[in-house]
Amino acid sequence: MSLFGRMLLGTLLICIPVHASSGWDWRTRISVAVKDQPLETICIILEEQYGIHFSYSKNVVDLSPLVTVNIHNKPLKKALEDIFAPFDIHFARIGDQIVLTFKKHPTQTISGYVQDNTTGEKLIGATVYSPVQHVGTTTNQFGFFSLTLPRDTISLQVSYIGYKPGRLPVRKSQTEPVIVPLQSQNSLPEVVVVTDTLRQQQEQAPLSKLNLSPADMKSMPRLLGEADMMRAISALPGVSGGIEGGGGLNVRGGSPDQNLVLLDGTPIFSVSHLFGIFSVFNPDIVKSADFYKGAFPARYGGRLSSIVDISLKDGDMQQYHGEAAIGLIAAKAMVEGPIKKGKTSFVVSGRRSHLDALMNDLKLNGSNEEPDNKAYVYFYDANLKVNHIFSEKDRLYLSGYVGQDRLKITYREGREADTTGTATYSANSRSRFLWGNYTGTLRWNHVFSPKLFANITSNYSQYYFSTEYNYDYKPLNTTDTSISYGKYYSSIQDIVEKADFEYRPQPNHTIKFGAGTITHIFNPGVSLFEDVGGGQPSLDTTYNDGASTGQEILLYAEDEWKASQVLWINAGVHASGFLVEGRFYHSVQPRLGARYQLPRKWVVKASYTHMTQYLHLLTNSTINSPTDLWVPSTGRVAPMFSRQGSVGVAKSSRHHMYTMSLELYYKTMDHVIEYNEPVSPFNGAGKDWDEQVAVGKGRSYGGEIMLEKKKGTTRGWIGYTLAWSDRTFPTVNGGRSFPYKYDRRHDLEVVLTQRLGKRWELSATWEYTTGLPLTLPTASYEGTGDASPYDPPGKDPILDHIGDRNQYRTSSMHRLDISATYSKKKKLWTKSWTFSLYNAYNQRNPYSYYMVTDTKKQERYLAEISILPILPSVTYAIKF
Amino acid sequence: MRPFSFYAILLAIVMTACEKESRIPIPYDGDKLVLNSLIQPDSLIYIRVTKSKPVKEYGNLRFPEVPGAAVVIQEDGRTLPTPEWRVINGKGYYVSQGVAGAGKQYTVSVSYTGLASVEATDSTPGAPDIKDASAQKASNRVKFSLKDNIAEKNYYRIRIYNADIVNGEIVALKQDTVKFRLDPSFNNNFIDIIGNAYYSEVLLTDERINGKDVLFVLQTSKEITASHMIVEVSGLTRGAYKYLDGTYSQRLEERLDFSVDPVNVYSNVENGYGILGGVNARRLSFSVQ
Repeated sequence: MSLFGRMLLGTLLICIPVHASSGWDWRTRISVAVKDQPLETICIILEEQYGIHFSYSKNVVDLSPLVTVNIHNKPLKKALEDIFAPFDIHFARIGDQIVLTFKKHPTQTISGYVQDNTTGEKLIGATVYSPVQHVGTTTNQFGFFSLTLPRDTISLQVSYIGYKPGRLPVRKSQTEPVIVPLQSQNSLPEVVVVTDTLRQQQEQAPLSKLNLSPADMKSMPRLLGEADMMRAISALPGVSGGIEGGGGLNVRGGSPDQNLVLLDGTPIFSVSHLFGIFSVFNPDIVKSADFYKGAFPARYGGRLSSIVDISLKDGDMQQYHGEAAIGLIAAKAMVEGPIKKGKTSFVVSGRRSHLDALMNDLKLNGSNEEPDNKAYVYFYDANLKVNHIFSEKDRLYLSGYVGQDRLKITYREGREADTTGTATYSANSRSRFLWGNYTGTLRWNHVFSPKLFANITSNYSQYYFSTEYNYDYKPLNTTDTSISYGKYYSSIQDIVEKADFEYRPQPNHTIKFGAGTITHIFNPGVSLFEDVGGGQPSLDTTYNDGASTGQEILLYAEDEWKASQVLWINAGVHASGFLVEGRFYHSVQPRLGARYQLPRKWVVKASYTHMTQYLHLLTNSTINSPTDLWVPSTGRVAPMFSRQGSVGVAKSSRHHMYTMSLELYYKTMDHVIEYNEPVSPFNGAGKDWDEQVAVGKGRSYGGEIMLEKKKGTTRGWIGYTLAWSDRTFPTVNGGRSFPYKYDRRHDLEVVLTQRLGKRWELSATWEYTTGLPLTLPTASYEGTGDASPYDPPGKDPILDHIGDRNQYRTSSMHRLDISATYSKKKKLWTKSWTFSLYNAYNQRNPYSYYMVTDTKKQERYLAEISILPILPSVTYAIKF
Repeated sequence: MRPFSFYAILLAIVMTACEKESRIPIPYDGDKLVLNSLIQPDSLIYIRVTKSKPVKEYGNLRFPEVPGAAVVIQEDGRTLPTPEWRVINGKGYYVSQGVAGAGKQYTVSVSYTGLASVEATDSTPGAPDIKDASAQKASNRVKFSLKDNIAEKNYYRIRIYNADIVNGEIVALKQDTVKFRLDPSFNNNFIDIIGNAYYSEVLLTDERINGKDVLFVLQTSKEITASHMIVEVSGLTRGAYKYLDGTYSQRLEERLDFSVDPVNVYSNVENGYGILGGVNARRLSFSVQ
């Protein structure tokens, strides 16, 4: 029989003839008993015994499910209800027969928040899952979820890393958001107990996205005793931490300014303290961090290379908690608790370095002659967050951050420093530096309907660098006093207004859309000089005031679509425009990510994204420093633009004990810039900065492998990156491409943590990287400084001719960091000691190179400088 | 601008550093002619011709001289008489037969068997207008006035010498370098104040003093003890300025940090290395009060 014929037959209504007369009605009492028989058998029995005809389409109504029924003397209607209702089969009498049809499912949307049972802290990425329907969802950044299911869904499973799975009973009339509390499983305060959830399954993770919990971060060895989020990120494949000791993130061949770092949605421009030794994020109040190095969802934009989206804790709604720690470099404290139980909470934290006491005795320039020259350096940061629940549908978050580094240098000269008393003047100079971030964030969450969630954000962020100096000069015998004052400052400010919506019409679709504006206020360097000592007036008191404002607007929409049980697609578009000094730039950036699940827990992933960046960072040396200047795109320097494509595979072991992922990527970057010539760090950008920079292209490609063990007392990962990154500028290196300054060919990171009993946790990281590109001189030659051979003091200057840019490599680098944490739970609080060794085997890794000229030995050679030897540290912390 | 890393200096304060000789092999581009001459008006032109060398050297830091080269000097396109080879203070120079003039253009070309011929061109600038130099004993300040010519873009080099009277004349004690720095408001070089840095010479453009009559106050690193001093201000051509500015660390501090800014020193010598630059120095000699 042909296929068509078979289909035709199959779709024919099947009429089962019984007795000629219809001797039944709805009140007819029937009895039927079957055990593990198909529904169809019941129909046949009723037909045979009571003459009831059943009419149905086999394609529509499935009577194959096995049932066990024992009905005794029940009215027909009631009996059929009991039999068919669980299978959504509807029945009706038409003439002498009962026609069976499939009942259309009524649905119900369940929405709410998943939170910690004790603290009320919202849990990000918790899984809400219907085991019957085999569908689920995860909570968003605010702990909110929405899931549309058949109305008769009885209960949902809710699970989250480190928490006991919970059950959410579903009430049919439920329309208000529900609260799902989960009980924490943590035994040690800093150890995560891993449970099996959707979220942590490798095959569920989007491509190029990694999530870091504070526990991940805290379990890594610490430099000078400080746990650090940015350091943990830089240990991931595809990320290079830049130069040793520096805190910059270089993601897939991108520069540090191409990373968008968001603190509760607010952009942070400078992410490190103490010239890169610590990040500005106090790990005690970080709740989670998502890191994207590709496959950027459409909701993010404005930077080319990576997104670090950090969520801070909301604060305990029920009781007060706190943490305090003191280490070799810094001390910190955090307190959280309810302002009004169950309604309003707060979290406040502070951190300050106490290095300045050590620096106090440091003599500058190694000079014993000037005992009064001093330097003080310290940093501090503080966070405050208040969270108020107005109703199940409305929540408000208010947060603020301030973090600063300060450096003060004092010199005394003449009579003030002179012990012999011959000087006829006294002078002292004081220089003060200050740089840091200030941010403020106001967020309002509103649940418009169980399917529609909104987050309205208004935030402000500023990065500020300022230096001031005073130079006081007092001669004894004349009136030639000078009291001079100078100031130089630069800043960038962002004022962001944004509305994000999340619409979940069905379990298979999460549609995110939104719009926003960002006002960028650039102030790339202003100088001011004054002399109030009676000398001649300063030449011009301020200059280089090149402040400008840029207006960015953005629109985005994306759909996280579960196209089938095995195919997941995130498709979106991010459109933005930038208006600056009468010019308008715009771009439409497609974002596409897809994941396809294969048998045996193999997953194939792919993504393609465009990103546009309207901001540039002027860096005056090869290393990023606090003096770098943010500037807008101009007529000559267009916005940076990147295209990135990546493909990957991932595999989990049977119980998700081990995961493996491999990714390959290719990225291009247009309109990257660098200075043509070295520029003083305190000159400011000036109005014509764009004429001093070369505009070029960048390209990077490579592969990343990550093997991770996620369960058990031994956990950790091995990450390996093989990468190439280069730059091409028409006016640099003769127009030839050259390796990017942070191009590392091989980068291997091994991170291990080992739990020993209930109290000890050991951790170690080992990193091996090939050397960084280096430019070397390729010839030396005689120099001159004077017109007449009778003039010079007799020294022959030796000059070097610099070869092609970045054609050589520094020696390879490797380093082992280890730490051990001992935690002990007391009745009311937990104490812990952390002992750590940075650079445990004291490897001398190259930091910089220079030529040494030894005129006595008549020798010249290349010298290699290394910093950061073995650095032990100890930290004591308490938690209550 | 001199290579400088804010980060490096500050990190160096915080971190301990360790230095060793690097094993990285340094390549060599091969021998090239090196032409060096700073032409001073009203003075003979001294041209130094040497050969380049590999960067690493163990035993002899002097560069090989090239005595038998064919050196041609042109003044405003007119070829001058062939310069003579002379050894002065132990070093060989090709010396012109007549003095250079101000405001003229000079081209020097050098040919030598086995090496590529080189050529360079520059002009000679006008002399700076300076006056009223003074200093006070046991102080750390030296003052003088400079009147900038508004009609031109000017480049200057300032140096100070301690001096003494020899045969009734004030003579600079050249081995006794006076290190100093400029009031930061003139060049916005905050780093001098911040890093407490003093220099053997200061180079500046007229960007902030264009067309003005300015009193310069130089801060010396040490108290002034000499009986006499000399302030030397040279007008420079743009090429000379860029060369002297870019070579400061290597000429006067014998240090080159590659990690900071690997940018080549300015050179206007085609097919070779070196500089042909115009300078015009004026000196003010005075007694310290």
